[in-house]
Amino acid sequence: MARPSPSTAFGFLRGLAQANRSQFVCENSPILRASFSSAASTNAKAVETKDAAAAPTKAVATGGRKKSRYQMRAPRYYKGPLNPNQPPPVSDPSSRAFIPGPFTAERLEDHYYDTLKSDIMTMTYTHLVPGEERARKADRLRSWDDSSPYHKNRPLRGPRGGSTLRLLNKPRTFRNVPGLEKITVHTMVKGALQDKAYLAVAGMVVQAITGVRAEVRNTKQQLATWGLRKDVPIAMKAELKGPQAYRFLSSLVDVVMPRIKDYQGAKGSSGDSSGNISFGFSPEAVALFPEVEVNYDMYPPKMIPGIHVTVHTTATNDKDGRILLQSMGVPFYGKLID
Amino acid sequence: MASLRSARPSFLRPLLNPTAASARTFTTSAETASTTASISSETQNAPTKPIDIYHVPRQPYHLSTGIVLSRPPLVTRDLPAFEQAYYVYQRRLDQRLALPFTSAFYFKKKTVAEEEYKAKKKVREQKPWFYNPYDRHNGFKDEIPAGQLSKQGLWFGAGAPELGYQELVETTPSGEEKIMEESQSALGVAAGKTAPERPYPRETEADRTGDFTKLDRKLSRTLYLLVKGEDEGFAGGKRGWRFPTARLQGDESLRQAAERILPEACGTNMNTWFVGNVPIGHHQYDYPSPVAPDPKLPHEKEDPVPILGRQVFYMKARILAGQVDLANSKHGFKDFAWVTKEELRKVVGREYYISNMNMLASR
Repeated sequence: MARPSPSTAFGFLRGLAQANRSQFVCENSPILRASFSSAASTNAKAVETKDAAAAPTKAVATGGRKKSRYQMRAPRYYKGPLNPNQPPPVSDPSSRAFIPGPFTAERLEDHYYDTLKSDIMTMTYTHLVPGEERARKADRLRSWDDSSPYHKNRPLRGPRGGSTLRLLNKPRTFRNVPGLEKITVHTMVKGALQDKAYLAVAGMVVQAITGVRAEVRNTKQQLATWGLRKDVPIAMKAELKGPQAYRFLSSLVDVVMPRIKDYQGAKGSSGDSSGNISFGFSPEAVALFPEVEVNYDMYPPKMIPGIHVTVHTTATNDKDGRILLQSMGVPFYGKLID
Repeated sequence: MASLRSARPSFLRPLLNPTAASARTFTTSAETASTTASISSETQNAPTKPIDIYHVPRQPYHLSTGIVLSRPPLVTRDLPAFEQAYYVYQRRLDQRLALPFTSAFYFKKKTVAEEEYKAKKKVREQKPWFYNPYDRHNGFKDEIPAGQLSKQGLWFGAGAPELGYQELVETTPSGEEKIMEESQSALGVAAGKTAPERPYPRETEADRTGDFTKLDRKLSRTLYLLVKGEDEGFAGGKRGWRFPTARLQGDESLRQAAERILPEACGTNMNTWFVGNVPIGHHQYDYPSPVAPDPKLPHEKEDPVPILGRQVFYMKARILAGQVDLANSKHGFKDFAWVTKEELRKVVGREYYISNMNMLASR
């Protein structure tokens, strides 16, 4: 996952053209890297073709030591486990794929762990008196009733009405308090069917507001009624995890949502029964993001898309997911349906 | 129903009742006397009977509710030195690895925003703390001497750790001056060069004076309400700092009792929220000598057992607004304080703190 600098306008557009990269390339970011030290910028290109055992330092005749101008760089291609020049781990700053880590403690993340998590645990805890058993539910996988001799050793049957088992809703403990797992930002741009520039702008907007390089998604079917052809790039999708997800959610709640006129919130029936809640923003609302508003004029007119935001939580049902989001400040309107 | 009033949580008995300390099976009152003698044979031969929670003998303890009223942190936490240094290190790496800022993409030529950006860039480049990673001669000087970071991990040069917000405003293009001018003209006030409104400092007057009754002290920490009084509800009759506690009356639940006690004891001038219906902590203490049962209370009259002490269950509450007012306190509290976890530890006794420390937040 690349963290873009402000200069990635060009990197992004170049990256769009380079769809397939060699799997053996050590770097996974199309962003051009400045060399680690400014003094060696001119030597970087010459150095890449050399081996690791490089030019030795030259001692000057007068006795002073001439400083070596060779800059050791991580190898560009992975040449196997037996090669003497192994790429450093991605966490090493000298790695080509290194992405600088967190720059500050995240406010919403700290608030969740210090305040919200314990409140949600206390609020949703159900006490069980020792000696008492919880109401026993029916078996999730139903057994055969041995009415036929062929029932012996037969595999158990799935739930009625479908083969997908629903998530288990276990009693609340300190270990299963609902938390934020990841956030998906998605935008489908119908104009991309005619003009690819729409998709570029959409990707730029998603990258600006999330800080993450968005991925292209193609159409899957051909539907003439809606003008869809198969395997045409039509959507951009970005995933946020960890502190970045908390930062995005807090900017939604603190900056974007208050500025939307007559904003109702997320729909009360939103939820996929597994604790993941979705809500959307119109193009006018997307223009209110500070990262978009700062250079709103640079975007072509009427090409800024709307977005869908899906908050994936570790909750196992919609009610707990909604409680988590409400505790973080997301309003809901209408009837709350689990 | 009399039996409902006499119902008490049965898990207390094996843990706390000294007469049945070794009881392993849950039995009715008629068999209590015989269980202590023949435990092993019973557990081996007879299957465990299902517990009847409504017909458990009354425990010889008074039930109390305590209230852990807390004000959660209002600002971000203070970062320890190592964490600050780590973030500074990551920011420096980012400055070195990222390509130079392409202002043309963000600021259109010949606009007011571009002029503001250029002016502030000039100011920023003259600052002593400015770092240019592409400087041929000084790009290697990226280290910050220890002890020069501000409390939130920002660096503004040696000897100036607290300039903070003012420096940021002088060097960051944000359009604030333009907004201030527009708002000033809209109000009809002459548009002059006004400084943008400063945010409030993290340390308040209450921090400087050390006023423990104020709620805006220690904004980055959780504050808990402690009260001091002559109420006999305190441990062994000692008059120390404790959470507001009082006995249950009648049929009420723990939460109902807590919601009754808080305005009675600490005034009606607070906007509070009780979190959930379950207690978050428990503390037991014994009276110096067992107390006779009160014939006025129906459940104590029907099962007259000397009361050994008190069981306190703590309910969690958050204060949203207001302040404590002990003027008409019905529970005899004379003084109150809002303290952090460490201050609480110093003030209450060791035993009390050990009972309660795990229900207090880490920050």
